[in-house]
Amino acid sequence: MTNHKQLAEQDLLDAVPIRNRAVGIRRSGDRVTLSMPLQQRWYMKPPFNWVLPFRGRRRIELDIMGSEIWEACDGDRSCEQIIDGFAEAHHLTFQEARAVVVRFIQSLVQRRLIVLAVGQNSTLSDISQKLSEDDAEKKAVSNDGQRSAASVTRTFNRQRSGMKPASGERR
Amino acid sequence: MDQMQEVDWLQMHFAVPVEWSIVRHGLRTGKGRLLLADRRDQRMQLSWTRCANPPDLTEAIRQYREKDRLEWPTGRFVDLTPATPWRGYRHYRDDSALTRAGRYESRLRRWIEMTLDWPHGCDTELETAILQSFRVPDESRPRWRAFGVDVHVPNGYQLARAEVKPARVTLRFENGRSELTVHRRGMVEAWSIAEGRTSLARQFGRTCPQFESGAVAGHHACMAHGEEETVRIRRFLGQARQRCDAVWHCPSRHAVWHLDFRRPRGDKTGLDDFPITCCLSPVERRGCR
Repeated sequence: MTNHKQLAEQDLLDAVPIRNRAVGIRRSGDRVTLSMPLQQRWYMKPPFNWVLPFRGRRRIELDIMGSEIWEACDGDRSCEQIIDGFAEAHHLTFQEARAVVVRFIQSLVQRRLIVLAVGQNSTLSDISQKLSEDDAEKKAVSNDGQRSAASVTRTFNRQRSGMKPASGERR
Repeated sequence: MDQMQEVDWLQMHFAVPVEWSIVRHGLRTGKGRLLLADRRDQRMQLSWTRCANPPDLTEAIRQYREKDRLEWPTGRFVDLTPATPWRGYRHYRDDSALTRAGRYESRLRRWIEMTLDWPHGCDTELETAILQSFRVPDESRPRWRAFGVDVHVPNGYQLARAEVKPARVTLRFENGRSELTVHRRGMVEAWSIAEGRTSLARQFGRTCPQFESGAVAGHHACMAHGEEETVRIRRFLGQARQRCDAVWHCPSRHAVWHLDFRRPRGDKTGLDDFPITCCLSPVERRGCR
């Protein structure tokens, strides 16, 4: 996974847009409305929100074209395939469709509604398979009576952040 | 070989694979270039410079060769076959190649250079086809064929503006105070385009045009004749130009076309003097008629 700003034009065509799982989707006809949970600030939590009802989610309504591209971002199709499909549907040249689709995908990435997976085996199914393999591996380690998966994750997170283990916790 | 598309730009004609699109364009006859790219790489650059006299071709090619040798010392040079009017060479680099060719067109008085990039190895057949397709047509009405527009304009009309956006192309030709603007809007369903007559009435503003039905490019078109909307003093002085517009829908391309022609009084040119084709391939044409 990588930020869209770091992507070269070449990589962008191969990148696979993957939807953020936290995004809520509501369909009405051809249009799609997305809702994204907002970060809960201190003033958005009780007791302040008892008085001031803040919205917990941000809603984004997509037009027909946007909805079409969003639906095409299914985690399996690369940007190039999405552009090809869009060009065919609207009788556009590849370059015309590319200008429209890439700009829209970039705006989705900026709003954190999707991420772009780059590199080989970057489709959603590949990533899901990889994650399930990792999970299976962790469970196998856990069943051996050694460290639990949660412990492995915690240790890994601590190693990344440079924290020391809590006292009493087995390493 | 790939399916080819033809391009006519500033009285230069050539054919390239349909996958290649113009990504940069120059309007000036004095100096400019066209850049074409496929979906991943730049593939071709056609550049031109006005030259009153033919330059020393051998020296020009030698200088380019030196430059390429410095840039890629391990490359291998192969001269182009002298059968074509082009002079130049092919420069093989590791996996890629580059074709650089030049010629002088005495009729246009232009030094023309064509650079072809071959990122995955040289396709000599395609290279020959592209180089041989280049010609300078001798037409009474110069043809402009690019960005999905194919239009002939009478002599004297120059391309003054070319605005190319996704699914929205605008080309404006000017000859003194006469001007023709060609609009092509693709993705019809995305635009809230009004019915032809309503849209034209909106374009003409307060002036009251006369509407009629006609045929443009083989399609049924809504046409309007009238006077352009301008300040009152200009109208009193008789400087308001006459305006003739046509709007039609091309189903095969999902596009709405709009011709906006303005001419000063006394100019006898009409929309018929700008033959235009909207469905470019014969297959598309069959689907439209």
